[in-house]
Amino acid sequence: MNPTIGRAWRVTAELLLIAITVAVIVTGVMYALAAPSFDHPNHGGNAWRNFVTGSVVLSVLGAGAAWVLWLAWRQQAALNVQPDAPARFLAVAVATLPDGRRD
Amino acid sequence: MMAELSSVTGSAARWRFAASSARAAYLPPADARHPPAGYFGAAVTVTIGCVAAAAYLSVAYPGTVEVAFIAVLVVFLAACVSLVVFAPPVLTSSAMARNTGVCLGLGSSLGLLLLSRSNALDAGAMTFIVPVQFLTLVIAPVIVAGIARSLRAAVQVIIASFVSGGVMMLPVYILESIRRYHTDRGLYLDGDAPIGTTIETNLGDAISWLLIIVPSLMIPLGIMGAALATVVVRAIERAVRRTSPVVAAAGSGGIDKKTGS
Repeated sequence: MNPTIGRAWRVTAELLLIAITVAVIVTGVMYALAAPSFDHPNHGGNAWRNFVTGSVVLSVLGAGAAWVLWLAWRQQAALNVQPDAPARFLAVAVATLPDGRRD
Repeated sequence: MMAELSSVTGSAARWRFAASSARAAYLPPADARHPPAGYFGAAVTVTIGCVAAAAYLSVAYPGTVEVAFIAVLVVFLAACVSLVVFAPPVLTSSAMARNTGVCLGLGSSLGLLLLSRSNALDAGAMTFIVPVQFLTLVIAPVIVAGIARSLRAAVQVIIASFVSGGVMMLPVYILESIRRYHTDRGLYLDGDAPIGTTIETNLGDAISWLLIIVPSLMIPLGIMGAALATVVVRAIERAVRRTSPVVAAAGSGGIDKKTGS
């Protein structure tokens, strides 16, 4: 496979995984917060609407922020030039260290 | 570490070396990550404050403290204390960021207490919590990112502000909501007094709005704003360096060319 296309696929897969993870966590927390009000005779409809709106908005915002952090992190780790998976794994860890302690 | 890995051959050996080195990077020896004594003392003090407020509530108003509330409180406090005591290097590299975050958290807590006591929050604590969390979780990190030219420093401000602000505002919120409830049976959050309001309603508001909902909106905005500020400041710096050789010569000593930070 063309290395550029392979890299693009890898980045896309990483971003997709991050978005799905954030959406699942946000939706779970929102459900736990809103679920007790779903059966309320007067506020049940509002609770459902708030749950859906809140889940969508917070998932989009959270995924955006997580993407920004991950892209900055993978740029710092120079993941695109690492030769194999162990090197990428270690580069991600080393990138978390302050500049003076990377050796 | 990366240079040493390049001399290791064989997939299994490379994975073993990478795993052990990554563990050393994320979790350095305990003596290398001692928190400052002041932070440790402050963490213990505010944790005791939160537990004391919840304990007072459960004794003075039996049955109002739910298991879910205790679970969230315990998880939050444990996360806060572990962040202070066992913080990995990625969260402690900038003393300026950490100090800024802690000062903002302390200021938020004192502000909530003083405004509440001066009856300036009759319209509800929400009129204070949202602007203050916008300031501490969005504006301050953007400013720090611009000054330090570092997204990492901004993220450290966000974490320190959220942890210190949350852990110090929570006991104030709990005690002031009890006072408000006894004054007009109203909700501390928005000043309304709907039928069926109880102390328990105020507790639910404290957890969900102070620790979950508002921060969930503000923290992503803060991260994206700080990233934008970092990019803009670095671009301006590069443009200035290109157009002014004198500035370039003076500035080249302070900029790490490898990382650009």
